[in-house]
Amino acid sequence: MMDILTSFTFLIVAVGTMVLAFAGGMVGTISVMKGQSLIGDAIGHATFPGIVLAFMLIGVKETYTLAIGAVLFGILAFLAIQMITSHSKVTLDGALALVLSSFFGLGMALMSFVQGNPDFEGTQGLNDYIFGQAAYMLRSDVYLIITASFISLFILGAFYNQIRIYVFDPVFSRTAGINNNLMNFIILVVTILLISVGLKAVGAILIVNLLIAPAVIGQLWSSRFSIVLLIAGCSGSIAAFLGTYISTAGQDIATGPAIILTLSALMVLSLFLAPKGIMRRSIYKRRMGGDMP
Amino acid sequence: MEEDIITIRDLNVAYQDKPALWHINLDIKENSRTAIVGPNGAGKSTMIKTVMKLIRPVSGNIKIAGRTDKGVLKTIAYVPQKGEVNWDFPTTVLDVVLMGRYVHKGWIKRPNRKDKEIALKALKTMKMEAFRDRQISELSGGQRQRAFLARAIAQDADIYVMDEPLQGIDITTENLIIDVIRQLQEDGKTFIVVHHQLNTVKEYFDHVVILNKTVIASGPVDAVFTEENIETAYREKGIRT
Amino acid sequence: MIEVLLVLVVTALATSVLGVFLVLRGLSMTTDAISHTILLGIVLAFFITNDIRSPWLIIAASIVGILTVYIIELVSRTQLVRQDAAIGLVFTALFAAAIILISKYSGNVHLDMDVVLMGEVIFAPFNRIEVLGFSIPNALWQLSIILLVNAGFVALFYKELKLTTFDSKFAFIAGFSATFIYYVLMTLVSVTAVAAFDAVGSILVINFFVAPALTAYLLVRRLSSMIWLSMLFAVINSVLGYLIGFGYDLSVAGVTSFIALVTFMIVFIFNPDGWVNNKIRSMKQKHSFTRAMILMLMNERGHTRLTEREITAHFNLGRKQFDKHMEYLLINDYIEKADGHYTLTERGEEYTHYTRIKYELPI
Repeated sequence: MMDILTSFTFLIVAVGTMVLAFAGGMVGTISVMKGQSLIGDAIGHATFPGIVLAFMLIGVKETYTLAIGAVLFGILAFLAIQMITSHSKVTLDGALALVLSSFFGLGMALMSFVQGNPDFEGTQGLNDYIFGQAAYMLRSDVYLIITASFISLFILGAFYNQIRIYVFDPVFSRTAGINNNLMNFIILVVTILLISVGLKAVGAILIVNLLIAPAVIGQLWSSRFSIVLLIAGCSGSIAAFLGTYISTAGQDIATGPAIILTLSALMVLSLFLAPKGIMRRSIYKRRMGGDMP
Repeated sequence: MEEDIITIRDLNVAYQDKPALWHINLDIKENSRTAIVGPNGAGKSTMIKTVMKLIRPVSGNIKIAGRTDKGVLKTIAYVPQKGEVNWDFPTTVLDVVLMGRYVHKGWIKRPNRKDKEIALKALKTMKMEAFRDRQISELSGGQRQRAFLARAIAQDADIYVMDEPLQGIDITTENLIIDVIRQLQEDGKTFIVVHHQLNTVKEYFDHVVILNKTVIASGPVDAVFTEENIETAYREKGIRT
Repeated sequence: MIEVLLVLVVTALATSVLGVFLVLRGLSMTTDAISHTILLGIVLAFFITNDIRSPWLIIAASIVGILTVYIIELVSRTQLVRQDAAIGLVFTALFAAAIILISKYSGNVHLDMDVVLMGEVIFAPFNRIEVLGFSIPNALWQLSIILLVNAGFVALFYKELKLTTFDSKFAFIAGFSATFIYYVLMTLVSVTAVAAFDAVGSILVINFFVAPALTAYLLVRRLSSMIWLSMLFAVINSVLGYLIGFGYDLSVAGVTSFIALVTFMIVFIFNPDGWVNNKIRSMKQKHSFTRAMILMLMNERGHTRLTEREITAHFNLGRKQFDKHMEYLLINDYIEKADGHYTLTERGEEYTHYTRIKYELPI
């Protein structure tokens, strides 16, 4: 066991995913409370063509370049969703499905172009961004995750009060002189940033889980926003550590999915055991003889 | 009670191409308890939202204590209609009340002990101190309304703008809210309240604005709240619905 | 290679005929979840049967698909988790389990993850089956049957689908079980998604389900026309996707999905009720509204004689806008101008009277 814990690859991957999951849990909590859980899913899928295009334009598979491509396409996807929902009768549900699959389709078309073209070399690793390939994470990937996470958490901390009021009561926040559009923009940028840097670790398809699951766990355990954020961050990190450990110890277990499954297990446990969970609630119901208000 | 704290001149508000408020000229007296009454769709909520700069008018201007800038909003406490907040949000009653103090805080600054004292005092005024650590979603309708009024009190505003605060709450809370409004009036505050029950207007308020897209009448309750004026406001609507 | 096109078109038709109801019921993302999680069913059934063409794969996958719908409903019914969050949680968990199983045992298994997930319609004709003495692609055979079943379901239960989609409470009172229709629909969605795997893969299949339906949704007012139109768009997207993808040697499913967004956007922007026309209409509305307001103001006591400055200040009008509006009002004889002052004409008076009635303002 000590072998694993001190091995360089393990440490790189564990630190990277733990920091990512911590920040992702906190930022995700805000999106979940805003009822935007699945926007993260759409953005995750939509980053794929950004990555391939960045590779095509610059010609190298360099961490930062690809991340910029991902961020740009994440923003593009969000704008498309917003434009469709606000200017037609199409619902958010439909717009999300349309945009995420079409963008992903574009990514696959570009990918097939790159793969069939001898001008591009070393296209192998691009697939890693779809399913995640944490084992191949480089030091630069981890640095990027840490930088992005710190920036995100710093922004979150700086605007903590404003964001809190905005998410709870947007009308009051406007009358209290808070710029709601700015808050919305900040939340969005931070979400896209974290998704983009986390793609290599857990992949475009699964990354939304890192945003939603910790948030739901946090909400089940506490009714204070600050504590919910903290629990969300910590449960994300714990799952990241355990998941990375499991995938390193067991053979041929992909890290991203291992983290997601661990997180899902924590989530199911919380659903039953947490103070606001199913078991407590049924006890409460029996004692009070009625539904919880 | 002589000064006008809010003056509205030639105000027109429209949603797309449908006027919601037409040619409003109105003065709200300082230190008054003013009710805004009118049939459904008369533009009552639209009017106070325009005062709160939540809606941009097509034309006209609103002066609050002689000012038109956005900063003046900090002197107004706005209690919105129920159901406009995110009830899933994990926050305690005390937290909600403390939010009222943020209006006076700049960026990043956290509330200090004094803010907390003010918030606790506001909770006490609304007889909600026992609920301070409850999550907001666990409260009943009347309790929620009390919590939001406590937030408004903690904001320490000069003007209180409330959108149907008595809608769907228990009679104890209703009496408490009216008592608190009277108390605060004695401290020099002004109240503008959208009100639904015509039978309690005379008892609860000293001024009234009768509205139906345009101001039918406004002034002291005794002079203005007449059968004739009420009929003018409600008649046209009544025939159609 | 006409067979490739056929497979693609049949897939698009089989999915889009159900897609109409998915879009109208707000089940797009639920379907997306299904299309991911059925992979788990495929993997599990494959481990047991060890045959990639076993019909058990389809059955197991469909069961997992239905299970997904059920779990999502179960989780969101606790009221502890919002429905959209529940979708995100459930599909990622089951999908992660599938990937782990594949990665763990892919050593001795002929389950090509890339093809399962991404699909490649170009390969469809290689996998053939004998039907009535003709050799046709397996996918074409399967999907044709599914298309018939789906179309039959929609035709047969059209009334029930319409009723339960539009007003499930009324349907319940009228004696139709919305739950039954719902689960039959989702079963068909699962089966269709499994069969479409070969051709378009698990991630893009959602596009084939909903994109044509969403595009049609922008244009129609009736359910029946929405179904026909969405099938038309399905064919258009597939043919274009095939031509471009095949011509330039690109992923056909990928190109088709992106083309679907392009057709949607074209319709979104240019349809009679679309973005461009709405912008033009709201601009026109705004202008005629401003003119009505100017006339109305001149009808108010104390405002019957207005100067240019008074009007521009009142409505925050720019010089150019003011001139345009005034020119219109003067030409149409609503107002007249005398020594720098504007006043209403008789025609203008009448107009304001009519406007008051139109806007339900007190007279």
